[in-house]
Amino acid sequence: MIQAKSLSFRYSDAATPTLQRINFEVLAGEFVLVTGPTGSGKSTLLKALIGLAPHFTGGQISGEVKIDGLATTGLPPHEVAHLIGYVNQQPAGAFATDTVEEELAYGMEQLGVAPDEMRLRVQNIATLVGVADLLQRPLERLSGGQQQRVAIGSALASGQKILLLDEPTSALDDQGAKEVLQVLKRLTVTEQVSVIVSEHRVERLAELIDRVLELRGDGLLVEKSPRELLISQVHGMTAPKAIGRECLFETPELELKYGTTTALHPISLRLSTHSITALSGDNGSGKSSLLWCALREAWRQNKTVAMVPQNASDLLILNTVSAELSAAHTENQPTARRAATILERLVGRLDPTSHPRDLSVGQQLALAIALQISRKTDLLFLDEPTRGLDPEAKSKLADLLGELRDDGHAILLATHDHDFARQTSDEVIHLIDGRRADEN
Amino acid sequence: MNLTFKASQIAPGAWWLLGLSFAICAGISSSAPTLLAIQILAVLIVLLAREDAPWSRSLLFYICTAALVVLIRVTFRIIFNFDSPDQVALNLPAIRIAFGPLGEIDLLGRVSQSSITAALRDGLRMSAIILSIGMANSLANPRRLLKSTPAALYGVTSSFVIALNLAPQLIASAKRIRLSSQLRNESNRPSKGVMLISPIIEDSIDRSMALAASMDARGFGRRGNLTKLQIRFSRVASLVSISALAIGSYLLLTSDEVWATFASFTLGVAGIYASLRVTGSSTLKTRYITHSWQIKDSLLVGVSALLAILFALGVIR
Repeated sequence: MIQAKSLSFRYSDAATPTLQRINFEVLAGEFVLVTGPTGSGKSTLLKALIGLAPHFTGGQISGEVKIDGLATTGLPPHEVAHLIGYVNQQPAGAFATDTVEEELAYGMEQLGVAPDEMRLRVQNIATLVGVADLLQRPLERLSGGQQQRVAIGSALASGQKILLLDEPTSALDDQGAKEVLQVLKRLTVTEQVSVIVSEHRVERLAELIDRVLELRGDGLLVEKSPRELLISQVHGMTAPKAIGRECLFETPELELKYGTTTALHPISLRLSTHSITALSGDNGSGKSSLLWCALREAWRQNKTVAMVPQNASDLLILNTVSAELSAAHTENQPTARRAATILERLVGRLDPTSHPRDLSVGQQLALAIALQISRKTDLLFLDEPTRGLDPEAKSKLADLLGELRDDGHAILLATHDHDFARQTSDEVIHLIDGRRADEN
Repeated sequence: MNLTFKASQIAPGAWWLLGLSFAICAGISSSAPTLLAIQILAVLIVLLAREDAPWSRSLLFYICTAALVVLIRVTFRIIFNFDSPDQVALNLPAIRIAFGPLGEIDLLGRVSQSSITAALRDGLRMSAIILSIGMANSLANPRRLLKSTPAALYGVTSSFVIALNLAPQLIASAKRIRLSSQLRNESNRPSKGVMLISPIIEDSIDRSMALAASMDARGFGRRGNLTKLQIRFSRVASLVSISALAIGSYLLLTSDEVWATFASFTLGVAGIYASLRVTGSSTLKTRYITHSWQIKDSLLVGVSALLAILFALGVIR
């Protein structure tokens, strides 16, 4: 179905090519995982296959890509859209309509699916990806995980024989991720759809995939079997230590309503020094809402607080990585140096002249975390701090948070990654439908 | 018959025609009360018809821009004031700046009543045009409008997506960047506005590009089975017609060349029709929800056309 011969890609200002003479083939009905460290070019590879690179990213492509026997190198995305379904890593910016229902139908409309057929498929797909009761909801009112479900659903509905999904489960809770991946697996078996998925959380996929393409970070590609992959993924995390604590921040009952829907029922938080508290829960359970309410409360009480939002790139506004780092705190030089050190520790050395926009999602997140952590505020809030990070970066982040806790900071993080929550935190607050689970 | 005029119940194209009609009237009119009336009407229509949607939150932005334009126009006339006044309204100390052999100019000095009135009228005309376009932008759902993009424009779809999305995106980006600097500051004070203008513009273009990329990857702009020749023809025809329409609008606003204006508009419409005929035959798209054109859409378009004609004929000044 997909053949890549000697495929190379280089971004305009990059010193080295991101993809270097890559060869691989994906057959009909194969489920293939693309993996590799943060920033190794996984997204770029998928973009090159559908033509978004270089048509929307700039840069130079060479080599040959054949999709279903058709040479597509150099074709713009809309000319191959009928062959390939693609799910962007950041669904929120990719929505072309206003409501869940319209978004699910959008791809089909472009491909000319008959209206009756569309209505049927929208219903089926909505049930399949778990958004059946959200069909009329405006897309901007969805949680990060719900948005990801809609984006995947829209690609599934269009019914192409090839699906490219860029970190499709990074914002999904375990159950949701499992369901989505099972659906993909079923498509490969029953419909002979070829699926290429890029993922960091390999453990979710190991049993489903046929083959692994690993980008090594130097632009080269190696093929592996799923078993080889799992062996290389073993790693440990620091266990929480108990130290003498005092209360640093206490909120009154926080609650949040959008119109008639209640996002958050009254809930109060108490954060102590030397502590990491995790808010866990499924997509749309109110984790982010609670975090933002707590942030506003912290501002109101004049606490020093740093927040890394779910879309970490929202924090980045300058032209280069080094400008962002030196803006960390202008009147306090050590902060900038500290931020640079933290960044290097998380994802290795980044080219200081590169534009934050051109970083991978994981690298953007690492930069945002580095900027905010380096401020050494009493309170540190992080919303989904593991999206797009490879397992190594993730365990380094866990170490880093552990050190901050030992220094006396109070950390509050929202995550759907139950393992990460359990392994890093002293206390896990589980949310279900905007309530504490233990209150239900 | 349901005659509620809420933003989403009217075809976005009809809102745009109303906006353009208001803008044309403002361009023709030279009476300050009429211009003011157009502005008030535009704002009122937005307030009455708008619903809670991202692109509807930009009214304040347009009002501020409009006010700024009037202010700048009048200030400049007072500073660079070259007429010899008969009726002095403002007597300011004159500043003479000498440019050596090039001569000298006077700034400020005595400003006449009539020149201030003229500047005010010019400013009001521009601000009325801004508010008319702002009204269309606030009420027409840009995404629905994109869906009804004629296939003839597919050669330039990405530019089209970016252009339509830019104004609402600017507002969203401004909010985002303000939040970012708020989150990154030690305290929660928003930082200096001027420093943020370039990130805001960059951010809105980036985000509009991301949307265009996503739509493209999902098949928006697909041309199906058209031959190379047909594609080339439709591209040239749509570019020519868009240019002709732009020139026509410019002539309409700035000159009395009735025939040249008429010819430009005719050429523009004919070009769009021709390229629609060529590309329309192989359109592969279907609609999930069809927003059928309703009586009230026609009503709105009729009112728009009537207004523009009345102004063009000089019935209303």
